[in-house]
Amino acid sequence: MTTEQYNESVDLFADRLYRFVIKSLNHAADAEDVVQTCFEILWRNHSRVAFESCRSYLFTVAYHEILRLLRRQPVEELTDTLPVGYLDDNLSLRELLERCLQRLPPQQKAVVLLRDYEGYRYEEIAEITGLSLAQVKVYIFRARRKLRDDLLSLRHVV
Amino acid sequence: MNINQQNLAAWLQRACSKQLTAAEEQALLNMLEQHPEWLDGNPEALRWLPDEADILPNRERFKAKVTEANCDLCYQLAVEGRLKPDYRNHLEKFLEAHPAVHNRLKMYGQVVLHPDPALRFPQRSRLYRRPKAVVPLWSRLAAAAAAAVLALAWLLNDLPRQPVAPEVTELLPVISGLPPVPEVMPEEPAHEQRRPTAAIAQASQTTEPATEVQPVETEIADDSELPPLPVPVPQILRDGDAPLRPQVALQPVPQQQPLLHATISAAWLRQADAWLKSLQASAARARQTAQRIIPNQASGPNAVRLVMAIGPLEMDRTFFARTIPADHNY
Repeated sequence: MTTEQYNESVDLFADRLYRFVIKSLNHAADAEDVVQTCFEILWRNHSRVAFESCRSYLFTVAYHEILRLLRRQPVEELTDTLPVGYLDDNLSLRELLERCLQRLPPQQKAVVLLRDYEGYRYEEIAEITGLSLAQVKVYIFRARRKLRDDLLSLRHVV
Repeated sequence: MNINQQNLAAWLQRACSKQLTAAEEQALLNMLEQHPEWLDGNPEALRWLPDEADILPNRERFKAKVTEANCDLCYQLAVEGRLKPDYRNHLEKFLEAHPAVHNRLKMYGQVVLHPDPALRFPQRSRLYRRPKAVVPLWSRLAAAAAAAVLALAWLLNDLPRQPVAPEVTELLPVISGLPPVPEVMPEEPAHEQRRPTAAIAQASQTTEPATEVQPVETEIADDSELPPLPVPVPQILRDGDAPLRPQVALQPVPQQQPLLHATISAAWLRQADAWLKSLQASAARARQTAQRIIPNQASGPNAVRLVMAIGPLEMDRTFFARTIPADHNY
């Protein structure tokens, strides 16, 4: 990958990577650091990474950085009941969905985001995350079911 | 190989991950043929079975069976467009028969996330990299040549300058118009100042014997027999009315003249010493004048050039002091 291609990858993927990371971490400053780190690593290895594969390379690095950061944070216990003050009456469907998204386990959240935001196929998600294809399918299935159940309960509450 | 309803999920999980051997797959399929009701609680089987169509002879019996247990998975696959056509038909029939389940499954169409295009990375400019500038060879050579020229110019500029600098020459008319320095200049009668060489020779004969001058090989009594001086004798020594001529005093003095090897007389030495004293007097007067003219430029270029002009004179003084003993009285 040449320097021009690297700069083109910044144009193409910086925002998309940032959206993926910030939704996974739910923290803007950490997301900026992760994106910066991803492109720094890409630049360090730009002579060995083809331009065609730089997108999956970036998301692979970002996924592992996200997991590394989340492992340092205290684990939030996911319960079936929503905490008090979690909702207000003026939330749109997207905002409700994003709040439900934050209640997912990190890996489920990441695979759903890769699937919905980036449109990756299951095989590509398995390659990026290092999971097996069956694990990816199961994670996505469970994540959607969890999202739907949370959304249903939230709608009942609202 | 123990396959039962309790561990069927684990077996199906391994089958979806393609971790089963052919014998294990066959055993699992046989067990599912015998107990198709076990699939109701195991939606993972639907992912595996449609891809293995040739393995299971009786798969059509339960393949397109959509129940409440697997309807979630089937609906999700339908939303993503990955449900096979035969299952799609069965799913439609199932949803028509179960409207309550249909309303619940409709929510799957809403749990698809959509990116927010307004969310942009704020520091994108920090991510860009500049391409390395390719410097052609000719420009590198030109830069090296320019550096060499500059270095040469600096070296030439750093060499010692000529004793008489243009700035000093400009000061000479000012210096020449000043009165002489009394403590340096000898006070001699007017008639002796007109012929200083003869007066010095006469004084030499009366004050000390010529034999006491050790370096002198041959003594020259007559003034006309003196050997020519390597440098022109300052006119101040011959013209008593004009005792000091700084122009002459500040002229460059050759450093490596064969003065030591010449046969010189005591008269010549005395004459040269007087000439040197007059030069030093001129230099002292020039220094005083320079300080008066440029009082605030003690280290400026003019002052430096004045010092460089005076430097050879001081060297000559040192030379004569080494050649002639300090206690030598002549």
